[in-house]
Amino acid sequence: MVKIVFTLITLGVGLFIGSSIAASASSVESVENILLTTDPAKQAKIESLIDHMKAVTQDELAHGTTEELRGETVFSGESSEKMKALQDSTLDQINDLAARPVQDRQKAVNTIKAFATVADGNESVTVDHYETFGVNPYDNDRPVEFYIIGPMHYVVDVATNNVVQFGPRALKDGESPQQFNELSVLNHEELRDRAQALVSELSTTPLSTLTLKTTVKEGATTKRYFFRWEDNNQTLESGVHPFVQIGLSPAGDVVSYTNILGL
Amino acid sequence: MKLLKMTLIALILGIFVGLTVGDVSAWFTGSCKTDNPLCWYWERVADGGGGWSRTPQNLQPPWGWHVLSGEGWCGNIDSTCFPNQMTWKVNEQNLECCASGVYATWDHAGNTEAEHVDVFAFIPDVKATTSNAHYAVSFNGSLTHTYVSQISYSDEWVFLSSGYHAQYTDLSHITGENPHTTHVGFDEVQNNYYSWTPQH
Repeated sequence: MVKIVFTLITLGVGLFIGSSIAASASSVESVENILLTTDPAKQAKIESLIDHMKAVTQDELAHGTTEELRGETVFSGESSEKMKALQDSTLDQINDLAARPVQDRQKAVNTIKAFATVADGNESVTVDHYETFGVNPYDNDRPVEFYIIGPMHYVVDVATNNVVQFGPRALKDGESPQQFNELSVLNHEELRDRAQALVSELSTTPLSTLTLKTTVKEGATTKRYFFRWEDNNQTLESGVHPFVQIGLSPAGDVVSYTNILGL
Repeated sequence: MKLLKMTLIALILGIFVGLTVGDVSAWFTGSCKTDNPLCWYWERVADGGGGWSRTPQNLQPPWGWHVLSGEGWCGNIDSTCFPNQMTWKVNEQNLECCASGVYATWDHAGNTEAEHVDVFAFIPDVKATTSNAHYAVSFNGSLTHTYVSQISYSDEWVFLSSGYHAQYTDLSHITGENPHTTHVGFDEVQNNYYSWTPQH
């Protein structure tokens, strides 16, 4: 009996050690804070909006209709529509309040226009709107902003105003995707040359110091060619090697672009 | 001697099980500075790990679930996380194939209504070729549906949506494309959380 109890305790200790190793292996060591507005009036307004949403949520939970889904209590029917509308409205208002001043965001818009001019020769691109703020998923110390142009989005680094990502955005119900030239008029070598020329113009880091990796994805009706230059001598805290990558259609249209070399 | 052997076996077994089913959902938390109203932390939930599930659990290849080792965020990018794999499945056009639904779920329990959340999905460089991956994120009790062109990205994070009080993210195998013509990649989901008052 004593042996069994001792073995079970040891098993528990082993479980604890194993879980701790698994948890710590995925952690990052430091936490930083970012600050997007220091205006007390704006901060008070933001807190007021959130308090209002929390109060309405509690009221709707008490008097509206709900169901259990994926182990969570969620709203159903009219309650769902009402709460979705409230959240969207709250998001929009807080995004406006927390945004950088217009003159600062104009710098981001200018780099987006310069990017679009290089990527597809479109010198008269119009940024539909500033969507939201956030931090770079590759480096949580770097605030970013999201801008929308039709079905595409641009992610801009707040510190440098450089475009860190461009590509098809997550579409909502009923929205149509961007159309690209899908004619296979360029061979793989020509696509690589086009990618290299574009990236050399869009990025300041010499590509000769980086390692090229090529990926081809084939979908139902088309292919996408990815050319990724990685700095294998560095690894970010998130575990990724800094890279610049461009995705092209078979005709050489720029479908997507990510540049985290500067992080 | 026998007791020592049993102890060692139990310890090794315990560590192995702990590593396998332990906290594979990575959390990045910390305290906020009191003079800073905007604080943040992130959470990553890996396919195949804690906080992730697939429905139905058993759906055999060729049209069912596939697991590919050495690919996806943990398999191909971040060697410190676990499990080092991605999950994928061939697409279906509509619900005719399987009315009860086939999807994967990333659970985001733990945050509150006061926290702004940005949700990102990692798109692997293989087996993620659909032009219309249907993600549904439950924010504060309401679903936000978005459709992502996985073929447009390769080993990259892509922003899905923002909201408050993220509860879970679903990804369906239904893409609207001709059946069995593309692949849907089910890999890591990352949430970045912000709060306007110090909480963590």
